Amino acid sequence: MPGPVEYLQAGLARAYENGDFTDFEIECGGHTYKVHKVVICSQSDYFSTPCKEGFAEGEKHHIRLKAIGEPGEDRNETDGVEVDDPGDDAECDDPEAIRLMIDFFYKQDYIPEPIERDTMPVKEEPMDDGWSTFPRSKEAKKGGKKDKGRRSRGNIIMHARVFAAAEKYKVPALRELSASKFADAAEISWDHTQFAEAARIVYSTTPDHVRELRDTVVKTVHDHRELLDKLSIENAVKDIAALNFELLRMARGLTPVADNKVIDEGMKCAECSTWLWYEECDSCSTEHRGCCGSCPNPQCPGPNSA
Amino acid sequence: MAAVRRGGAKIRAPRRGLTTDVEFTPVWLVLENAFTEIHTKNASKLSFEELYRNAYKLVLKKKGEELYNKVVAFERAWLSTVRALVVRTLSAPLLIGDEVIGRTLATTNERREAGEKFLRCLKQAWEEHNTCMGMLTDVLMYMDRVYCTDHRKKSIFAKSMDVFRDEILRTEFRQEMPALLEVLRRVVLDQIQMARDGEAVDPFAIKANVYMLEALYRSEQEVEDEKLYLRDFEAEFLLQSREFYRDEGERLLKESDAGTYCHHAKRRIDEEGDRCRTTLSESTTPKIQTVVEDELIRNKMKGLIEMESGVAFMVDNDKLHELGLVFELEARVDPRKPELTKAIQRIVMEMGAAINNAAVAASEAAPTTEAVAPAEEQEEGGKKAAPAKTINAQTLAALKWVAEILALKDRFDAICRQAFASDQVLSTALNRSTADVINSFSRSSEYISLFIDDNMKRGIKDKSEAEVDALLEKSIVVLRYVADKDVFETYYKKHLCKRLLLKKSQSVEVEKLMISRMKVELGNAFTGKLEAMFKDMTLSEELSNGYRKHVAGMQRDDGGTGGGAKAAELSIKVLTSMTWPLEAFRSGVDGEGMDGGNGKGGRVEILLPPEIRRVKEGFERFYAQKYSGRRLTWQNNMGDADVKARFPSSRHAVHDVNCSTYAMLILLLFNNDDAHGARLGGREMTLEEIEAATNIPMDDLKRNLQSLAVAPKTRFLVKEPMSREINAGDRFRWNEGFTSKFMKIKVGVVSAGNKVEGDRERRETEKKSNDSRGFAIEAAVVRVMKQRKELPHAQLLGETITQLSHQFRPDVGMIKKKIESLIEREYLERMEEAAVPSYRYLA
Repeated sequence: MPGPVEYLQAGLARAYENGDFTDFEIECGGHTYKVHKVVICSQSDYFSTPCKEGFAEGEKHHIRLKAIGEPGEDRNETDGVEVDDPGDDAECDDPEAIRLMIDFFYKQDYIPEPIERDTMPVKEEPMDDGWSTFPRSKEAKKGGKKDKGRRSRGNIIMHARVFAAAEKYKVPALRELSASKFADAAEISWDHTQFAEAARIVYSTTPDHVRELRDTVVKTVHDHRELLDKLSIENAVKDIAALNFELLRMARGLTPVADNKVIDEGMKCAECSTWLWYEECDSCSTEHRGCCGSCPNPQCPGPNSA
Repeated sequence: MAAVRRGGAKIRAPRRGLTTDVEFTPVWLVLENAFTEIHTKNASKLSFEELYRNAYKLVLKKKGEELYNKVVAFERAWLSTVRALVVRTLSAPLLIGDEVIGRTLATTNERREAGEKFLRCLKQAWEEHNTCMGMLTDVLMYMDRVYCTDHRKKSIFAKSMDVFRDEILRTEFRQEMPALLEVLRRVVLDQIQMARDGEAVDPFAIKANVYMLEALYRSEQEVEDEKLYLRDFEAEFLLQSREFYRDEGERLLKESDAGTYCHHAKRRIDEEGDRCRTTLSESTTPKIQTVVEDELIRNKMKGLIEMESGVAFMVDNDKLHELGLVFELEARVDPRKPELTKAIQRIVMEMGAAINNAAVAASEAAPTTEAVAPAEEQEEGGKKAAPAKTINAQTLAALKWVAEILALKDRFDAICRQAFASDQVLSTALNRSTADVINSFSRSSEYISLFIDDNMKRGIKDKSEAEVDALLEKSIVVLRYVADKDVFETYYKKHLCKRLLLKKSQSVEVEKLMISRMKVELGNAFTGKLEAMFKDMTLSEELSNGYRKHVAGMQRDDGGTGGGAKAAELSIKVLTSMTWPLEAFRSGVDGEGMDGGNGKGGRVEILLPPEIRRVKEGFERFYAQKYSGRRLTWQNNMGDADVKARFPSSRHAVHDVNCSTYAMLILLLFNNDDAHGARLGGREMTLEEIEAATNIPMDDLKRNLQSLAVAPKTRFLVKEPMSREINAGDRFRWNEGFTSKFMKIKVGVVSAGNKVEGDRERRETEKKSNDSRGFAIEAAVVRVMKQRKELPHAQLLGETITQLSHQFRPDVGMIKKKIESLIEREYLERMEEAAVPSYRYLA
């Protein structure tokens, strides 16, 4: 028996598919999606501004989200300043991620297209695809590839891109969903070729403090030390300075980032202003900060003695 | 603020090429251009997507701080141009520095128009700033969310409000001139002053500026009570208003009357409330109203109430509406309304004192009338008219007093109802004052009883049921206030006793109705004895009838005993001795025969002629048969008799004479030689002889002889020598020549009427009531102690007073004495070991 929520979802999905009562358009990478202001604005703070009067989008009821690689025509025509690398614009959108985000607005879920074998850029492991559940299990490979793929929550790259869109366009529900899908995918296919590319995306499309995906990445690399032997990972880690630092902290038994305690001038704790030092925990022998609270080690058995 | 400093120097002229930051500058330029467009209202051609994306990019590339600072600097620069625009609207009438001079130099109209122009310009600047910053916030949402939250910075919107405050309101725009904030305050205060003076000002222009001041804070920390409005405007506004209303109040008190003042004050309070709603801020309403209330009411209430046209005047002239206003005003500032309450209480007390004094004066005038009365009696010969007059003079004072007290109460009840909205505090105060007035009058109990007495005898004649009911209600109303209910009881019993025995009451029904009302009001204990009196009356009726039948039966039995003379008939009232205040009938001359119940021991028995004695003894036998063990004491002084008399020269052969029992005994002395005793007029007796023959107390004898030998219409006896006074040695004989055109003659009885007590009588009543109070106190003390066993002194006093309060106000000294006496009689003992003085009950 579907409940009222299910009926509403079904109705919304139908309205989206049929294009009934739409009053706004979102264009990205050549596709135009007819949507409802009330649906998108109720889930994203971003869209309420272009949906109301004020800016050009409000007049035209149309917004064009700049896709990755598209020329920034408006920017150039006014003052002629070239943006250094139009291809590397991390602030632009992946059209597929935008499609999935709009899907999510209407269906409260999204399912990325499986990545085709041909398009996979990394060559070391051509046999792997983005959504195989247990890549090293031969039984799994043989038995019903398609079904396994469905269950694999694959396409870790696309989850990272959807997450970036959710962060940029302020869609909290989608952010949560994509972060958890990303975590699932990373757990299952940590040794997939896509992982290195996903890590790059994660570290370039969101600011440092957005921890959800970064924590997953750094933890995955830390937990599976064999990954460090892998060339693609080596390259990625070398390129991404933040990942580098976070791994170092992990290797020293610390959290990837100092939990909220920013060190100011000198070596003083920002919270309690005492000089900072690290000490070994009496109970679990991990090192932790000597001030401000207790041993951060989740496995620490004993009372935290500072 | 490092950020601002840096921004001010570098960012204002960010020339392309000079900056080394290739990442930041081009993006910022896009944004900066867009912001300018937004500020000049050209946003509709801008792509929000692009702007948001660019701002997002800068934050993503960790350029959040730079972006933030640039935006702040941009706003600072922009607002300084806006400031110049606003300053330009400041015209001469506003700029003449000091406000006092300003006022004198520019006409009100000029100032008003200049002020409005300034206000509107500032309003516009504020509103545009808000709109633009709203759009900037949309564009910079990602920076607000990520950079500002992370680095504990204010949102760009809040920051821009600070910039607005500093740039527009706080920056000195000219030497020797206050900043715009100060100008704004002066202008708004000036506009409000104009509005108070009756000018029409633009409320919206002011309101918009107030909104602005309410949205801005004094410092970077947005502390709720540090709003510009509260700190930089409201305080000044309240101060200025206080001064204004203080002056206005003082002026009005001098210039106008209280009624006008009240109207004005109410109007001002409403006006200020409205002003807050339309022009200023609702949050100021209670504050400014307090100021107006302070200055126009709280500090002026006393003066207002006491002024010539104040509350006393209003009461005198029944200005209910204005009293209502005074009430409403004071109720605003103090729910206890102390000044009005005091004033009203004072007025009630004054009016009540006047009534009381008038009554005292009237009662003091009364004795003179009384002194004159006997003279009139003798001249007129009839005893009826003169005493009636005396009584009237006495009673009138009482009637007048009750009526006036009622009128006073009605009047203030009406005021309370109509003007004071039946306010609890005031009606309580009024009741207390009324009670004080009534209780401060020593004769209140007596007068109330007299009032009822008079109405029972005369007043309710020919009155409808409803009217009678209203009368009873009135009596109860006054009675309710009397504190010493026991004194009232004494008087009421006395008066009721006379009414019943002398059959003066118009209607027994109404009497009973009154009793039942008192029962409701004062309780069973109070009316018990009164009801017993009625019971006695009914029983006596039955007894008399029974005796009459009994005698009739006896006469049939022994036919001719009485010969020609029929035995005298007897109508008797048997009264329970403790219930009836028989001393009411005793003359006030001395204490002779004080004891009503004990009979022979204390006084001489009246000598009765045989025919009367036979009747008396007959009844005593009859009574003893019915009720054994009871003794009857005959109150001859209270009886009356119907006798037949023959006078040879009168035009009627036989006169029916109604006279007192004593008068009958005297007359019978002159009748005793012959049963038909007609023409034997020769017998002569001296006063002393008569006394010896009858044993009638001298005082009663004298008064009865006065009726029989002096009063012209009932002069059955002749006195030698002929004079008004009865003196020792006077001789009396039968007046053979008596003549009267009436067949029925009533011999008046002196002093049987209803009148105010003489001093001696009053003292006696007081002593009596003191005695009975003593018993009541003792009983109460014992009751309390029996229950509590041990009790401290103070508490015992308190409980005793509470117990007795429905009867009378006990005197503390008396309670102490009674406690002493109880200790002596070993009902109580002092507890030596107790910390505070305490008593223990001894069973």
